[in-house]
Amino acid sequence: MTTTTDVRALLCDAATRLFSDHVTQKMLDAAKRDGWSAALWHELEQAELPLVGVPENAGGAGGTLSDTAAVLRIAARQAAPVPLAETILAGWLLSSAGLQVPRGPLTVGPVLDETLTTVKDGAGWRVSGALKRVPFARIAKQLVVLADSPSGLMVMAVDATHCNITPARNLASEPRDEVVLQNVVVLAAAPAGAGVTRDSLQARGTLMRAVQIGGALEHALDLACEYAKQRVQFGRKIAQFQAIQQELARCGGEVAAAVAATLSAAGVVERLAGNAGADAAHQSLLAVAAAKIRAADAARETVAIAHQVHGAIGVTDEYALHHVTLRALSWREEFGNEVYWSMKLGREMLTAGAGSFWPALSTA
Amino acid sequence: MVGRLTARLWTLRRMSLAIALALDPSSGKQGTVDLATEAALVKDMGTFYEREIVDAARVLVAVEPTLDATDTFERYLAECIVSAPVSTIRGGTTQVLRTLIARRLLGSLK
Repeated sequence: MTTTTDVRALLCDAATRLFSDHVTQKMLDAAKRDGWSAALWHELEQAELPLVGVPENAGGAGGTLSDTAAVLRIAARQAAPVPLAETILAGWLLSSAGLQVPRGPLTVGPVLDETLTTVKDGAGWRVSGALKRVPFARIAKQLVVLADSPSGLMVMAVDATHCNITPARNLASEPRDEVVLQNVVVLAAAPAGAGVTRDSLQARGTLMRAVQIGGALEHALDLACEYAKQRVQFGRKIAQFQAIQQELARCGGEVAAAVAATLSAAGVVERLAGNAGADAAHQSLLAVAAAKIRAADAARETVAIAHQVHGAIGVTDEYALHHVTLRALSWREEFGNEVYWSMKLGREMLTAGAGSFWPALSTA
Repeated sequence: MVGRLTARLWTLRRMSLAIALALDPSSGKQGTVDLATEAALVKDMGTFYEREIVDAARVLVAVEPTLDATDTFERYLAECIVSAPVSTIRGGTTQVLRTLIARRLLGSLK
């Protein structure tokens, strides 16, 4: 127990150093135009961070989902403009299907409810379909998709340059591209691994985004506190006004709840992975939905307070705040927003009935 | 509504548990985290949650809650509404708790 915690502490130290050494305001501004930072990605690959959660036999570092979540939280704090969460998701799809995880930035699809069709091509496959809002598609070396085949759900990797990509972006100018696949040659294919479905891809995606929201909000809170200690109004630092203190305290509560819910959910999903029972599925859904709902609620409150404390400077291009706030607000919608997950969780809890409500909440 | 309230309760329970574990003398965590502030934070959010639950129950079921009602739902709801103001007062008012939290967030302001 202590060993994994110690190893994670070392990992977090290394990740914190890497991101704070390399992510600059200039890099973030350039990424709004270029979609990402190739230089930062290079540093990440040197440190093997994209492979943190990939099993050793698939070419990874063999870390846990909690390790992965810890690194993603730190990356999101600095608004790291790289497809780290996407590469991690793609690595999960590939490695659980028994496939090797290639180097380089990867992404996944479908992230919405589209379907892809496949045809056999000699010993291999070809895949077709149109996908929207694919994160970092124009950056990714490979696109890893879940596709239907006559023999069931398959994980397939294609060369992203063989797809027709139309750039689109989210509020923070992160690439969320439209991808058209026309009979694209599949580089690697295998039946989806145990527990890998369209639903579990969405659940893991939303968990990643929730963890990232937690990290981004931590930075928004830090910036708001720093600014309140510098800005002078009516002859005093604004941090000395109780009205500001009360709002910052509320903001602190929201951020703590988002971080606690999301890291805790990663722990629950990690513990239940490989457990195919209905009870495990119920517990996982509860954890993932709770994480996304709580993180999205916290994003709304935290972003509002952080901007309010900053006044007009907070919305200027030159100031760092919008890089994290716009990401947090965009990530709320991705892989299902809080309303989607609330409906899903509400239905699940009502179907299970009042008698099983508290047991479900208090077991995992 | 049920989904969102479940999510908030799940989170509060997780946060309270984390604090309870840290308070356990065998955890070796005392002194490494500022538990009083963490507890203030969870208490602040928990008491607002308590109020949210009561209001959710009130708007979902159209009854006129009465303290001496024979129906248990009506009676419990009435008791909760009457005692609700106390939840954000006992054990530290919201404003005092938030002052403690702000002090931790902002450090020295001299």
